[in-house]
Amino acid sequence: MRPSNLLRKMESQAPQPIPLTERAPPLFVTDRLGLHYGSQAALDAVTMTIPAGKITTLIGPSGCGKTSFLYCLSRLTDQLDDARLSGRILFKNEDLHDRALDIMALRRRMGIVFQKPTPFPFSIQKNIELPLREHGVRDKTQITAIIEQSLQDVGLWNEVKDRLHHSALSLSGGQQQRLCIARALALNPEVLLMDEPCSALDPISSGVVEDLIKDLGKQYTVIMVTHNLPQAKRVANDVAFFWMRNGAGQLIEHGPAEEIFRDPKDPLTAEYVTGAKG
Amino acid sequence: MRDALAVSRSKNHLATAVVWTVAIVVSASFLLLISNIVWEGMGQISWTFLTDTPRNAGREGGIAPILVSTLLILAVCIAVSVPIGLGAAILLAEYSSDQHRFGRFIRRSLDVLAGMPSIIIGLFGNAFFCITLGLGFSILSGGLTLACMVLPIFIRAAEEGFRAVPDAYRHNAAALGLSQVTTLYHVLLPVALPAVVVGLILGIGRALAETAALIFTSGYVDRMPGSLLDSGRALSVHIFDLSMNVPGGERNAYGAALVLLILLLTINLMTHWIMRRFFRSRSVSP
Ligand SMILES: Nc1ncnc2c1ncn2[C@@H]1O[C@H](COP(=O)(O)OP(=O)(O)OP(=O)(O)O)[C@@H](O)[C@H]1O
Ligand SMILES: [Mg+2]
Repeated sequence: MRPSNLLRKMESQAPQPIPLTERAPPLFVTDRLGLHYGSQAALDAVTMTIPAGKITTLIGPSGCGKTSFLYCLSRLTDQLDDARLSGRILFKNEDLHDRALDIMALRRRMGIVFQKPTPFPFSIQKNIELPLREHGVRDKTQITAIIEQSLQDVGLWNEVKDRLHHSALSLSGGQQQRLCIARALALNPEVLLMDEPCSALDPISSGVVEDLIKDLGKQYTVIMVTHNLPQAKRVANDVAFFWMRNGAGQLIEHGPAEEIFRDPKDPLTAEYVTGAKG
Repeated sequence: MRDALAVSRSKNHLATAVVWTVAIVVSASFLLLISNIVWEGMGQISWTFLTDTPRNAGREGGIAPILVSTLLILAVCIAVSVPIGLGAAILLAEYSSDQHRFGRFIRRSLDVLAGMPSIIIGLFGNAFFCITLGLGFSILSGGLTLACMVLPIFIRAAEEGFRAVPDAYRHNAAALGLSQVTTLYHVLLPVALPAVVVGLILGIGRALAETAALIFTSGYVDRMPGSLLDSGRALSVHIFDLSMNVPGGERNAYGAALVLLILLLTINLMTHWIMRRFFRSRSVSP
């Protein structure tokens, strides 16, 4: 908390409800997180605390390990043959690499949206229904309601309500990405991890998805990678800046968005956000 | 400069000519073959030809028992190959990495088996299924032996099909917390299916054309089989017998060849049709 905030809070006499963001424990804590692909380092000693209830964007040049970082947070590194992790990750104070942890249940608590929209090659409805059924939602009316609600949330309902049984591949790129977001939202996750969700989209779809993310930020914790600095400026509460150093991605600076963009501490950050570097 | 251009242009012409010649020669010989069989076989085919038993060593009469035996052998072969082949393909593609020693060994062995002369597989089938397992000369032995021929082709094709599925599907499925079984059945299989089906059709094509392996295993009794443990003569064996051992059997050999051709075509079309149905019913949730 910055001093000015603190002052204002002390001045106000009436007991005010503490905002959610400051009451909640951090959502993710990484402690000297390192990642190797085979013998090549991708992340080096990333120590970071990601608060709940905020939109945190990860920025940095291509290849500095942003995607890899999201893969670590969701343990999708399990899917990569040659990925090796070191250090520790806590998710709500639970060790992510605890052997007793149910990884499938864990992934239900995280909604993950990838850079490239990847709806499954079956109907729009089944795209949302299949994960729901997998996680034990069997009631037909409930499923129908969740499908409608999550499609409403991403502003896709009116566009697809008459063709829920059509192949999801028949949607446009922007619609596909929104379907993927809806699919993640349907599981009612605690956090959304998004990897450049707008990069494959045209400016208009990108604007729609961006507004959506801003809205989602009111209900969910969002961690989003973006290459688009104006976009980061528009949506982010917090910004984390990654950079390649000695061949591996490192966290250079992490803080509230206004600070990072207006008054960065690290000269590298300053150069990057003003467009002088990267 | 101009010379170089002229040279490259004439090279271009040459290449075009070669490509066209090859294309024409290939399709012409294919057409010649097909039209020869259709021409000669057409007159033979009739309802009685399909439903009658062969008489006078096949010179007269029809091919009903042979058709039935062929379909039964094929059914045994498919029933055995599909589950084993799919299982093996999934194991190789999804659960063993490219570098793994075990996977590499299996893959190498399959490639060797795929190129094995059919007569050797026939002898193996005779020794193992007919004698060791005591199945004798039977449709079951024939179908199992054919499965041994079909499996290497089918497994490798299906494996490639699964490998060609983009990792994005696997990562998305994992991100949604889908189990491996759900991922395989609902996501990977439909995407890999066209390649799997092509592999199966290739395998079936090889099986239907097979003569050597079947002579040693399902035999050449041309009576109607009563069970899978009876010996039964396959179409290819019948064609071979009529054209090689039975003077005056050529006309019916052509008839049988045309039936075989139609059978292959039908299976091909039917598989595509089933695949499309399967795909549609799976892509629209109930
Ligand atoms: N599956 C993988 N196997 C091996 N190396 C990988 C793999 N994925 C990423 N890398 C390497 O790790 C480094 C970081 O990659 P990563 O995809 O995390 O970067 P990024 O910051 O997301 O880049 P971009 O902005 O271009 O998406 C890169 O050098 C990349 O080559
Ligand atoms: Mg990336």
